Parts: sequence; structure tokens; C-alpha cells
Amino acid sequence: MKIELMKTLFAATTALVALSGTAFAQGITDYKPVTAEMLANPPAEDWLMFRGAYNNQGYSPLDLINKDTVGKLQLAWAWPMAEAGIQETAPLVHNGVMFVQTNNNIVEALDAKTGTLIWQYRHTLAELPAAWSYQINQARRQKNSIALYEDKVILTTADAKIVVLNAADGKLVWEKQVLDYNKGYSYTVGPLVADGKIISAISGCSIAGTAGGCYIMAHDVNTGDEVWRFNTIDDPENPAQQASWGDVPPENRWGGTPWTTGAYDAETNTTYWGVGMPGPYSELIRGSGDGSVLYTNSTLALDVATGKLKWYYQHLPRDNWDLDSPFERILVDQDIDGVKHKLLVTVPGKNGIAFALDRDTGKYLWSKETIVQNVVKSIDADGTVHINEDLISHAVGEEHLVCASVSGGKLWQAGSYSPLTQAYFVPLTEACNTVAPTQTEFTAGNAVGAVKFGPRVLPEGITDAGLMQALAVNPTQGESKWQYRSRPSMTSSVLATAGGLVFGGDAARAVKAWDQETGEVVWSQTLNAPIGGYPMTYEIDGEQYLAIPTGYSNAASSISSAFPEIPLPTGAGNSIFVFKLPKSN
Amino acid sequence: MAAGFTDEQAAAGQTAYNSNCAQCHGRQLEGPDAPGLSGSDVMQNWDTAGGIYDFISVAMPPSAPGQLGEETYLNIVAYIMQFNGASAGDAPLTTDTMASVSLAAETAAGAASMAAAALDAGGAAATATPAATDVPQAFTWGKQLPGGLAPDQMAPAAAAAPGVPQAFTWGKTLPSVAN
Repeated sequence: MKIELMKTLFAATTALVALSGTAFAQGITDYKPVTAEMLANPPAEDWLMFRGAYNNQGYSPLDLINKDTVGKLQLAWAWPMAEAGIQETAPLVHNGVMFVQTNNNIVEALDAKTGTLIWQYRHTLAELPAAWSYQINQARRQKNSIALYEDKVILTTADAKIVVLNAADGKLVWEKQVLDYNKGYSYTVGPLVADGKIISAISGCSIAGTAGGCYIMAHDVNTGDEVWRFNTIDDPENPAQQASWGDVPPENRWGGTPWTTGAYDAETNTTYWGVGMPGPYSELIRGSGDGSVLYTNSTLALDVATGKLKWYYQHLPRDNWDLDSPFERILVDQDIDGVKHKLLVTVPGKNGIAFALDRDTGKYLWSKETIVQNVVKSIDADGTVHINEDLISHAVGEEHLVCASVSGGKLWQAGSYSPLTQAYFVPLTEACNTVAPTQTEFTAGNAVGAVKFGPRVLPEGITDAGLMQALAVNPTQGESKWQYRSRPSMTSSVLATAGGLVFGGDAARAVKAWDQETGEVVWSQTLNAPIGGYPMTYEIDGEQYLAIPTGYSNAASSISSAFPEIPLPTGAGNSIFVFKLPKSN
Repeated sequence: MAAGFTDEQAAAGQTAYNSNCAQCHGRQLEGPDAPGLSGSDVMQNWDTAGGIYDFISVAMPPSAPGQLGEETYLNIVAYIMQFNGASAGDAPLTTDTMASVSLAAETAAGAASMAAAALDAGGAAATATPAATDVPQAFTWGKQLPGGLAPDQMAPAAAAAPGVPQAFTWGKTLPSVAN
């Protein structure tokens, strides 16, 4: 009897395996490799990397969805992400397949026309001690992009590994433990593949165990061997960098996390990354006096062949308020009167100031304030930034009201540059908070910030938390082209297209399309959760699709007290919504 | 020593916390979908009961920020303190007293037991976990800062390893079954 039952169970199990085998085992039979040439010049119908191209513009040359047609958009399909919790997903599309990563490093390949699952990869993460709560939360916080190269999908994981999968079936090819997650290291942003290398940057550098080292790194794309690493808080080759920390030795330095995927200029084989704040946040606790604490809050230009620093520019010296400046570095070329200008344009930091640099030399060109901020007093013509020293605490517990807040201002949500209108569209939040240093004994798996933050509040006289800022950009100035203000805060990255539109969304679950020229909202659709992640677009069989991620990130709830009339959902809602135009025939 | 809150407040706070906060901050205050609310560093950074009250009574929960009412927010602060190891007393926590209730002082005794509770609640003990005393500290740790702790208050913390009784044979090599 027992044996018979066992046999029956065995038969049933076998049948189930066979059935699921039929459903999942086919994979993709005609996957065309993503070549280096395609990465350098992405086909218009694809979305091959984080922001669509090496220049990080977040711009698509597709124009079937445009000012005239956008009103006809219909839902093509939707898909729930594989995990609840906070995420900032950046879907990619190639070969008619959408690759979506969500938190806990789960990757899914979906048929981009129908949303049908093709394969799924679930990374096995080590379980951390519950007392390491900052690290556990941090590892889920920023999860954006993966990379496509040849017939592979490349991801960087919360347990500090590089993982390489077969694009056709999601099977693991190789993985490499890059740094020690027991110290606090985790990857929170995706890699960039260029020049035969996986270029990545580690996060978790504000966790106690990581003292002294925060890295941008290059690994051989085929073998995983380390080619070079650049330490953002300890550069033995630059005495000025060392001096900028005062008496503080490397083993008591933290921060400098480059937590947005960098840009790449193939012409000069240079990669550009932004760097986050110093730790501890307050110079009183940090011990660095009036030092500028390089290379925190800077743009770094690194030689991709060697990892050597070509130049740096510091956007916010002497940070005392956790106002990271790691956000998207966008490469812009403009031909003016026969002269080619090679710009780097960015709103690098939480305080929302836009900058343009000459990206070959690092020379400062201009800056432009956006949201209310009180930490930078002035910027000289040579690019020297003067901070507001009145906001520096000289005693433990000394409190100041600082704008922008630790949640931005600007946060991870990336802006887009449109070559069509030569404008940079930036999603921003108006917010301030009090900051007061505390004296804290650090513990394993937890942060070294050592401050008490007050709740995020609107700046005096401001009633709208959300700001979509369009900046007209050229080599000599950036000027406001238009502003769109809204009660709810902006919670997604934005996408500009050759259809003359820019797409983005807010905490009130509304995805919108703005006219790039006028700022007029020409389409709006309410979805299931705060709009999130990185909206993107692609084309299959002559039809243009628009993909909108929804769900919570660490931006969606930070200032909901500024718009209490708009209740946020308590469900996670993590989903992908895909729209397209009705067939014309 | 006055603990700054009552048993009744902490009990009511537990119910309110589990209903309004645990979805993101975790039943064991561990997160992970919002910052964890347990641990000595968390207590030190919020500084006082008033510090955490001032934040949550404006910003939390995101679906109804500031809408739970003063009594409920005070109860939730009491529960967070109790979870972190503080003991209840006779005097209730009020908006008048909260700014003088030190989270670090009230919860210090409970730090080790809190770590053990977190492990019991499902957290894994990591291999290669550095002992608490090995964690790198700020350059200024141990130095007198204006308004800061006296250096003798900054002695290394006791190791967080839980003092759970072990089997008589623990630590000894035992025979194993050969394959």
C-alpha cells in the first residue's frame, strides 16, 4: 500500500516536471547576439542598456507615438514583477524579448509583444543577520539595470557578485564574488559593458565594515578577471585628495558610493561616474574639518583601458547633510557654427543644481538652480562651489533646516536629454529636513551616517512637492524652458522620444506625456501604484510599445505628508504596463 | 530609573505597530522594505523618544501620514523602545516628557537580548561576522566633541553574540557517520 502510494506520487511528480518542461524549456531559439557595434549604435527598435545608449540620454528615436497619436494609446499587456518590495527596474528589449530585473536579483525574460514569460532566474542570496537592518534594506533599495552583451545577460547582485546568464534560457554561465558582502558591500546599480569590460560600481560604502574602500571596477567580460579598480575615497596618486580628508586616515573614511550607472564615450574610451556623499555625514563626527572630502559628490572621468583618473569635478564640497551627487551623467554633443561641443550635462545631486562640464577636460561651463536649496551659496565662473557654512553643525545635536532633503530634491529618478529639442527634462521634489549630528557607535551591517533627520517638509511658501523641470541646454548656459508643478512628487525616471514627448509619472499613480516644447500634458493614465523605475520604448513589427514600471521605490513615500489628500496604496503593486497604438487597419 | 513609558502604552503600541508599520518595517522591526527600527545605532541616531515621535507623527505611515493621532504615535514609540530593550515604568510617555527620554540610555541594557531575539525571529547568523568590537568607528569616536558623549561613555560595546546555553558537547569534535 505504502509502495503503491509512493509510485503514484512519483508518477504525478514526473508528469508535473514534464508539463512544466514543455512550458518553459524552449527558451529563445533565434536569439541574435548583442554585438559591440550594436551597443555603440543601438538599433532604434531596441532598448539595449540602462538609459538606451552609452550617452545615458534616456532618449528614443522612435516617433510613431507622438503628439498627434499619443491620445490613442491602449494597454497591450501587463505583468506583475516577481517580487514585492521596493524596486527601480529598468526594462531592456532586444530580439523581441523584454528582460526585467526586480529586487532580490530576480530576472525575467518576457515576450515583448505579449508579456508571456519565457524564462526566470532567481538568484540565491545569503541570509544576513536580522540586526544588519540597514544593509538588508540597502540591498533592496536601488535595483535598476542589467546589461546585455553577445548572447549573455549580465547582472550585479545584492551579495556583491557579477552573474552572467544565457540570454536564450536564463541559465547561469558563470558568477564571480567581487567583494565581501559580510563587510557591507552590495551592488545596487547595474553594470555597463564597454571595451570588452564589465564596468560596475559597488554600493554599501556607508556601512561600517566597508571603511576605506569604495570602488568603480572593470572586469573582463569573458573571464570575469579584474582589470582595474578605482577607490573613490582613497587615491594614493593624488595628494590633494588625501589632504581633503584632513587628519582622517582611509580606515576611518566612508561613503563615496557611485550609485548610478555611468556613461561611456567610445571616442576617448572614457567612462563617467557620479559619486555619493561622505560618511559620517557631518564633518563634526567625520573629523575632516573644513576639508572637501574628495572624491565625494564629484564627477569622475576614468580611462577605461587603465582605470586611471583623467579629471574630476566636485559639485558639492564639504557635504554635511547626506546630499549625495551620484545621479545620471549625460553625454551631449552639440554642433554650433561648425564647432563640435562635447558636454557632460547632469543634475548630479540631491540639491537639484544642474551643471554642464566640458567632458574632455572637466572644465566647468555653467550651472543652474532648480528646486529650493540652501546649501550652495554661489558658484564662481571657474566652477568653485561655495557652501553655506551657516548650516554646518559645530556641536552634537545642533540642528539646521536643510534644503533639499536627504530624499531629494533630486533622487535616483533619471532625467532625459532630447536632441530633438536640445532640452534636459528632470524629475524633482521640493523638500527640506532638519539635520543634527549624533554620536553613534557603529555596528556591523549598519550605516555610519550619525545624524538625526527630521521629517521631509515642503520649503516655506511652496505647496507643490512635484516639479518636472525642462532645461534648454547649450555650451554656454542652461535656462528654464518650462516647469510643470504638481501636488504629488515625481517618482519615476523620464523618457524623451523623437515623437516630441517626454514620459514620466508621480506618486499619485499617474503616468503623463508632456509636449517637450511647451510642457503641456498631452496624455495621462492612472495605474495601480506610484509610477516607478525607468519608462522605456521599443518597436516590434512596425508597432511602437511604451513600457511603464509601477510600484514602490525609496522615492515613492518619502514626502507623502505633503499631499495627504492623495492616499498612497499600501499594496506593493510592482508591475509592468505596456501600451501601444491601435492597429491602423 | 524612569523608563519613560508604561506597559500599557507598549502593548497598545505593539498592536498599532503591527497594523500600521509592520508591512514595510517588519514584525521584528527588521525591515527590509523600509529601514529597520531596531539596533543600538538606530536608537543613537534618533537620540530621544521625541526625535522619533517628531518624525513618525508627520511622515508615517505613507498611506496616511500624520493621521494616526498623538496617542497612537506615542504608543508606537513606546513599543519601539520596548522592542529595543527598554523597560516600562510607572510614568507614561507624553509629548512633554519625550524630548528628555534618551533612547540610547533606556535601551542600552537590552541591546544584547534584542540581538538574540532577532536571531530567534529568523535572522541568520552570518559566517565571518565581525565581533562588535571589531567594527570600524568614526575618526572622532572616543574623543570629546562639543555637546557629545564623554570619552568614558564610548567604551567598546559588549559583543552582540547571544549568551544562549549550549550543549555539553558544543565545541568538541564528535564522531560522524562515515559515508
